[in-house]
Amino acid sequence: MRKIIARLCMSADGIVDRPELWLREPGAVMDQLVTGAEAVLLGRNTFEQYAASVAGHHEPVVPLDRVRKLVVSSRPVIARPNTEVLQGDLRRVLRALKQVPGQDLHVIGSVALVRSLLRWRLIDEVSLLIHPVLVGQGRPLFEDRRTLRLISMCAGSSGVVEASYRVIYAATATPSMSADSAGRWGGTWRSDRVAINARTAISTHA
Amino acid sequence: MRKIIAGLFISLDGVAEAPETWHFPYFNDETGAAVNAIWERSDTMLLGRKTWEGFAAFWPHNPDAEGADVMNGTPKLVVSNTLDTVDAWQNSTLLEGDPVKTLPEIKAGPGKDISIGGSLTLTRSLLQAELVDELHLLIHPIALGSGARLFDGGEHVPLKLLSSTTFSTGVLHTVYGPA
Repeated sequence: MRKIIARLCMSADGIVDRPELWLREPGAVMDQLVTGAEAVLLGRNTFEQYAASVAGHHEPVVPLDRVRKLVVSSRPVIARPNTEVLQGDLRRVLRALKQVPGQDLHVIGSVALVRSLLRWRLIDEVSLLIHPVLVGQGRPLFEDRRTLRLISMCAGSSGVVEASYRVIYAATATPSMSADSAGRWGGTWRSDRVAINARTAISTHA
Repeated sequence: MRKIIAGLFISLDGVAEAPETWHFPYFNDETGAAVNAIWERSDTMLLGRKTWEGFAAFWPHNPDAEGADVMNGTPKLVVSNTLDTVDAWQNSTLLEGDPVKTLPEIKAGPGKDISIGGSLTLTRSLLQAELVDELHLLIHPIALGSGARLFDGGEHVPLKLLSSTTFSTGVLHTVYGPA
């Protein structure tokens, strides 16, 4: 079954709202979040921000242009290449999409959509690009208590820590400290041991 | 120059309040080692009033508890303009006035590094004033939904990542310095 993976920029103090207000390079938000996914799900606001940023261009200019885009919106959206609007009961449509074999679906940005999908238990993993900044204000991503399981951590010379987590939906979730987690990931990245090289991330994956 | 090193247990959604109610299931040797490493580099603890009062209600009365020697024996600087006295807990000194003005002088003086634990209100003002040399966040793989957050608005504080390590419990130990 395909997974639905949410990819979001987050500040070091847990804020996911409006990264364009606190990222060092606001224009680069989307580019960071699109990473070779075959298809992405987008909420209407995120899609419209993307459409505005490429308005007037008909040829691909940003990575997201080339990716198949499924937009969740109850009303029509600006036409862009490789874009469909998801029709019908979103929960049923997404459950059905997960059953179709294929690559995992990524939801990028789209905080409001991700919150709904979390409520409906449709998000399998959350991948957070944790930026080195304290922001303070914004609605939290998770609306209530949740336990997660760390899958991998990867850091690079830009200072962004990419941390991926599996979302746990059990009714009485307990923290995962099972022995099979030990040794699957366990890595350290340190700024003082790294040569000036863009590809110095240490990545450990379960 | 002495460094100010802040260490906080924090949830993935940025809540740093009352870790004693949620961090214990994740406490292991790795976490202990990270916390000890900060204390070993320091010879002074800096505390806000609330955190000091909470500790002062326990540590002096439990000298046989594990860690009591360190907690009771380490010199403590308490930032408060409302407390009259800090005699309730041995080795405490009241730091009066604006810490943003008094701490740079203390940092320039003799001694090892200075650690801050808890003390969210104090840590926030020191972060804004760029007086924190290292911020150690132990990011736990949980979302709490509510509670006081590390940072509560005001101007954004840019940081620089110094290191990031995973523990077998899924806790991330991320260390930031000033940008």
